Amino acid sequence: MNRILETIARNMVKIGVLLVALMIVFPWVFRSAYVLRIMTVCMMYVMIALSINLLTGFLGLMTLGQAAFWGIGAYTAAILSTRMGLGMGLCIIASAFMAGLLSLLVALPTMRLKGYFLTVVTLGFGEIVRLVEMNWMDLTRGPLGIAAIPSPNFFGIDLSSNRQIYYVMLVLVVLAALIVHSIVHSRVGLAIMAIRDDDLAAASMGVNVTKYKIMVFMISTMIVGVAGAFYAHYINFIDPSSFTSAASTDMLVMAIFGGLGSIPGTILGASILTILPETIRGLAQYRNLVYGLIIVILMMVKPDGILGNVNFKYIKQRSMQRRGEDK
Amino acid sequence: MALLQLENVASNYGSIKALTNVSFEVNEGEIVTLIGANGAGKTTTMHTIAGLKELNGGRIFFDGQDISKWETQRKVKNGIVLSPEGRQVFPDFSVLDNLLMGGYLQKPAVNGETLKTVYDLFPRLKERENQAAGTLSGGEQQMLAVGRALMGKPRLLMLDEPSMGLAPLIVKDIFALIQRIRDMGTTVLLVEQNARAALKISDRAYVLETGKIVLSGTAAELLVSEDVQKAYLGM
Repeated sequence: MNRILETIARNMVKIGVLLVALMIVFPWVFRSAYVLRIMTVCMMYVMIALSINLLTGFLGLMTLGQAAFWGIGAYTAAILSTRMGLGMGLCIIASAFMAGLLSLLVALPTMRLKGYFLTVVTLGFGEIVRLVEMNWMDLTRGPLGIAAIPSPNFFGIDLSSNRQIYYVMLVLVVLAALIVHSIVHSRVGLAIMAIRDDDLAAASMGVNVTKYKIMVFMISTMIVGVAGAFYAHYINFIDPSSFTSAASTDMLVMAIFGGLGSIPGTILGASILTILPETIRGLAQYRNLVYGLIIVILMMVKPDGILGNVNFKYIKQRSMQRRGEDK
Repeated sequence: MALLQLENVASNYGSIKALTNVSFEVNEGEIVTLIGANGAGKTTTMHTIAGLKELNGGRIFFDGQDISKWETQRKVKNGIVLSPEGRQVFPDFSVLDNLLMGGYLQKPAVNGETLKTVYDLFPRLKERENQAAGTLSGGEQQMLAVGRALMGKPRLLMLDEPSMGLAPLIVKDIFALIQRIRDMGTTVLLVEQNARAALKISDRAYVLETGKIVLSGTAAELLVSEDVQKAYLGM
């Protein structure tokens, strides 16, 4: 097992490139609309789970309101594209901006809170957002939802075929993964994880705890806001029933299942939990039972999630050190 | 002039007054110890100096400057570094990353230099560079905590209970190291339950009781003072 992990750790970059290459080739091998659709949704959830992992796994702030920011992104894109005819490129930027702005408003008064208090704040905020979406008829059309959202397009170029949509999502998820990766592996990333492990010690080292918490919260919600904008353009119709706290919980479960604090784990976890329910469709009404059982069993066997306690950076360093000593 | 000077410092937690009137000073190159019972306000004093706890009255001077309103980052940058109580190392971080966190506000090139000094002081840490800090022994973790604080290039190093929960032999090592650190030019402010060991290596000491300084003197004086012996040295 250690051998395998060491090999993976040493070749992480190669594996990442290979994975992206496979994903690029994928739609030319599997042409079924159904398969492409599952893969597209899967990548969207990977992106969402990555945003949660940045916030929950690396900063240690458990969120139960991520679907609200997903919804904010989706509604921003839906409203701007249907009423003002904005293209998807601009909508994505606007969605990121709106999600970031609202998260800043939530964060400013609350980021001095710690741990579960903040979780409750995110839960409450999620409910507020859903109620606004339900009741602000002029803006969101309430429970009627917003229909006829234009399909993905990029500055006038139509990207509405299944394959094109797939590639749009692939670009977004790769960008999100690169952003999260570069934050986590930077000096700032070290500070963020220090806050997670012990905020007092981090503060006494000169880390501005509140500033970093707000910053990470904003980046995380901006990523999920972009995922929301994509969702709106992809599904063409949104209504408040998609952006519930149940959806937030599902997202959080994906991040925990894959392993908090692990980017490869997040990719694995979100993929398994979106693809799995499709592969067991044959079980009909027992599907959710099996899905639930798998989560329960994994949490019993590996409470940290699939790759939760596997730190590839350190595995690599130790393996290099050992090889150095062997010579 | 004193390197650190506290003038009638007060600090509250809500309506509870933790420090009512604390005045003392630490001169450059000294080891000064604060002794006191549980709840006397030793940790609060340290946190207030470090800027982790807001100041509710009085003033703090460092190197002649009024630093009462400074934020922690600014204080750390100017060389006031606290190693918090209970060896709060980051357990999932490697030893190296823990140390790098200590040098968070320093330039990478400076960190390289300081790292050498720290590894000279604590060779064990070098051996365990890539090991997760949580897997170190208690004594090693304390050394890591001190080393991490040194990475901030402190002029004033504040150590909160460095001997807590350690075996007597290791405590001896730690205190010897504190002396070495002072000899290398860092001023040390020490908070200790283990009053005897602390007084032995200190130049001067202050006794804190319920948020006030009640006694002060050279360490040698306090070691033989009857009050101190009765209350803190168990004689």
